[in-house]
Amino acid sequence: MMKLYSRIKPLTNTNLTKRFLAKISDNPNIPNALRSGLIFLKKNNERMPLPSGFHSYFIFDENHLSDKNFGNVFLLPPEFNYLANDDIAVINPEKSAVKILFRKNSPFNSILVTENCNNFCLMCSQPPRNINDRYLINEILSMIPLISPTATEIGITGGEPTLLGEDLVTMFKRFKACLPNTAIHVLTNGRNFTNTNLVKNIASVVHPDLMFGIPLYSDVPSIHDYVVQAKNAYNETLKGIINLKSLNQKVEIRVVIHKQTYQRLPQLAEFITRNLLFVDHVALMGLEMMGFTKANIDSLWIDPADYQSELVEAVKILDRFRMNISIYNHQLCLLDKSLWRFAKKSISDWKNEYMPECSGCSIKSECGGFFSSAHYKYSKHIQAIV
Amino acid sequence: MNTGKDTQPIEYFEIFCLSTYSLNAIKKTCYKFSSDFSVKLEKVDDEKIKVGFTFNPNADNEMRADLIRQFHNELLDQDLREIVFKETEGVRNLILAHAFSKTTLIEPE
Amino acid sequence: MSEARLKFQPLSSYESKENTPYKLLPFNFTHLDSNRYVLTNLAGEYLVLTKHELDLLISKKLPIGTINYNNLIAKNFIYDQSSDVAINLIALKFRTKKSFLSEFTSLHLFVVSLRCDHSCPYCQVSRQNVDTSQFDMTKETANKGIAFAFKSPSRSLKFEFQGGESLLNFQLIKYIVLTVEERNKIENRDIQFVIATNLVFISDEILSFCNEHKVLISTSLDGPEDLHNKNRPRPGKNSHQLTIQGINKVREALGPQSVSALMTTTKASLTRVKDVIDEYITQGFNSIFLRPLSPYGFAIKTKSYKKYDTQEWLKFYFEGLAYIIEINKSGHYFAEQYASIILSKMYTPTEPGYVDLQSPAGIGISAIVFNYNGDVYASDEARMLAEMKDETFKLGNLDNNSYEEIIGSDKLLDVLEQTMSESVPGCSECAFQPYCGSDPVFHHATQNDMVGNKPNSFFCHKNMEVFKHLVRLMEDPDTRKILLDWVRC
Repeated sequence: MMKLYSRIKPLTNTNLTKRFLAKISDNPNIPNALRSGLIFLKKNNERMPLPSGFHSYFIFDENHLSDKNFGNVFLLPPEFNYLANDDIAVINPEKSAVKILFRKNSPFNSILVTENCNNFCLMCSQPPRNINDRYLINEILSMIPLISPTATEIGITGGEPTLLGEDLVTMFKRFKACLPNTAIHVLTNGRNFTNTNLVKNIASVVHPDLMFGIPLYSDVPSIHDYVVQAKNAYNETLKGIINLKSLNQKVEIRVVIHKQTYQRLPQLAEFITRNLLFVDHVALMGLEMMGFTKANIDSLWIDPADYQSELVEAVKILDRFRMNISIYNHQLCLLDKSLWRFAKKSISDWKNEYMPECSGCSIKSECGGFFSSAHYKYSKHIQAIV
Repeated sequence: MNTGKDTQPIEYFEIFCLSTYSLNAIKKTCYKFSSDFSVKLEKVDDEKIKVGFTFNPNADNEMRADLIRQFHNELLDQDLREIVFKETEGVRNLILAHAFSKTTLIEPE
Repeated sequence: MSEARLKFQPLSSYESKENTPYKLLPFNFTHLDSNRYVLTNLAGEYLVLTKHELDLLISKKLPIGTINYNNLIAKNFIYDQSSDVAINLIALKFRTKKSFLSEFTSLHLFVVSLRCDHSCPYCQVSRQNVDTSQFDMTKETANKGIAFAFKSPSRSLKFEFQGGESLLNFQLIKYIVLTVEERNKIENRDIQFVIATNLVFISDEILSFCNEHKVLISTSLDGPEDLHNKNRPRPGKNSHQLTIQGINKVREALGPQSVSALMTTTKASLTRVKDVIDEYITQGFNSIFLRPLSPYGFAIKTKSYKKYDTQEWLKFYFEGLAYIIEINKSGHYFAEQYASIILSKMYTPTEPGYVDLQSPAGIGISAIVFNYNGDVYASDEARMLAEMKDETFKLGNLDNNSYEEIIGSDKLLDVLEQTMSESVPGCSECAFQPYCGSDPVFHHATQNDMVGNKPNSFFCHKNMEVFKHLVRLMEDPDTRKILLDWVRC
């Protein structure tokens, strides 16, 4: 699993008093005028002096530091050798830590906008924290102009991004202005879209490629509310979806399949074809062994091999109506063969791995593998296909 | 509910209490059976109505008894329909108002 | 928040409380059998409940959290304080279901000639001899019909050519196709052309034109040779042979899906439904429309209408449907069209656009007919009624009346309004109302009352039995899979 966050050791005097967010450069000849806003990345093994004028420096070998007069030189652990030119990092002097916010070489980057949430899902992989983290959106707004225009897609996650209200609109505007060719995919429970002003303001941005991924866990209100641990969530989420679609926003329905949701999966599929036929995509997802999942494992765990008939029926219903369907986080050996054409290799590269049972599997390259967290618990039906 | 039989075996009547079944329910039930028998309604007083049935001469005793039974069941169903209609009249109007409105946006109350 | 308030509430915390009962949403219910009812809501979604369950439902005593309760709340038959979005969902679905109305008339039938070489007893047209061209439509009339069609706001327009035998006036068909295409360069609608023909007069020249202009062919195939020829006599007694030759010729020139077939049911067909279906399969069709006999035109004159009643037809239909389902179970896809239309109404929010199962009726506002002489009829059946000297549903004439006069006439609008099944006796409270239609022309022809007394209506009886039958069929998992494949999404 790729590390994005770590404590780092300052090797020289540092003058940082608050969080510092900047683009990374590995070019020692970059014009002087640009250097004061950049972090220099020294990746090679040569003993060469550091170029002067950069705001901060990342190096991997303490011994390569010849001149201690440079300020803000930090030692990075070897796991960070994936870093490259144009990546974006934020240094936190308080904790002496670095977080990598954007990687140019990754096809998909996720940006956390808040850890606050108004749901409390049984299987939440990013458990909410009730803290004041408004600084995050400000950082993101300053980061957007730094993001490489080669980025094809950026995910906006939380917590619940819509808690940002109008700041979310500002962010979309900035994305449109700075990155008009980058698709934005927002993960949200959609409940705050009952606020029609918010939806109208988002719609008036006219972003070229903006999609909202919204979870719906059951056709029955009480079951959905139970899974997300919030009263009236079903009601508000559906009203939010209707409002988004009334103003032509793109919507994806996401369903995490586990013990509480698999039984009525066909009925949920039918519900979607009856009531939400206008959505742009349906994502059926496997359970992630992270966050709250472990605390609720007895209520959540079911071996994916045991719900294949419900999944096949649900997909058949959706497919009959020619909806766009993707299955995520399901290993191919567990899926009924009729579902292979819907399975997408989606686990982001900083998370995915394979199990011992996978060795020798002939379709490893087509299969998404596992989240690293899956080591905690995974299907006993995993086997290499030869 | 009193029943009586005329001398002609294919004529039959019943008296219904209007406090038990509404006139509407009785009429709707009569309509449903218009291919099985014809019906004559007569007010007895403010409380009661007499329903006279004229059966097809081909209908034997068993068929007529079966039809009467069906009539009673349908009357109960019409009563239930009135309850449902009464309770849902308001929300039905709300649904239709939403259905025919200019926009599908759900404005908060 | 202090460190992880990891307290998760159980399912019961999110369920409705006993002391705040659920509320009912509008629904109708009708007997399925002696103990069970079919319930439908405004969007046409359905559920089956026993009498006991229905009583519990209405008296607010249905236990919370049971499968019945969950299905009822998910399908918008009831709602509680945490799911009033049901109101918006039903409104959206109802709106979608009725949105076809704003598209308005799409099917325009041009009767290009009354001449015909066949003499089918059930013919609903007063056919004329092959060589009397005074019963052909003229270019002037055709032009007016085309102008009329383009006045419709519908994004898709279908032009269907009928007769008599339409190919006897192929020159006019050519003219209409070319004129429409020219006009459509500006209009940019989605245009479809269909020629209804017995294929006797098909030729390479005609096929070449159809190929170039993407014209589809619709023909009559009543069954195997003996049955088809008995139903459809012509000089030479070889209708079937010519039809099959024609079908093959068309497929060769225009492709395997370019020709469709319709069958007409007669007394002779009633005992031979399997033979008819087998014939369709042999001739390479993947569906059949098992139609009833309509009470118009020559059918009434030659008394072929009274010869069987609804019960016999239902037996014919159910036997045919069962046979088709068996064929599907053996692995071969073959659909029945009437069932397909009804199933689409049961399972999707969109209208399949079948004129006879619409409310308000599809006459004039979904389909309209231009006779060879410019007379405008609300439907093909209306034209047949006029052949029997009843012009109740003749809306005007292309020469004498404007589009607005015809479409806006009381003759049409009053009929539509007064026969809407949402508000007539019997239908307004029927559970099958979302799947059914009003068919004022049929009721006028058979009962002299365009609303019709429904308990005495063949249309009503036939449809109710078919709806109930389909609901029962859907209860078997294997049959359900097959029938769902017939749904047009």
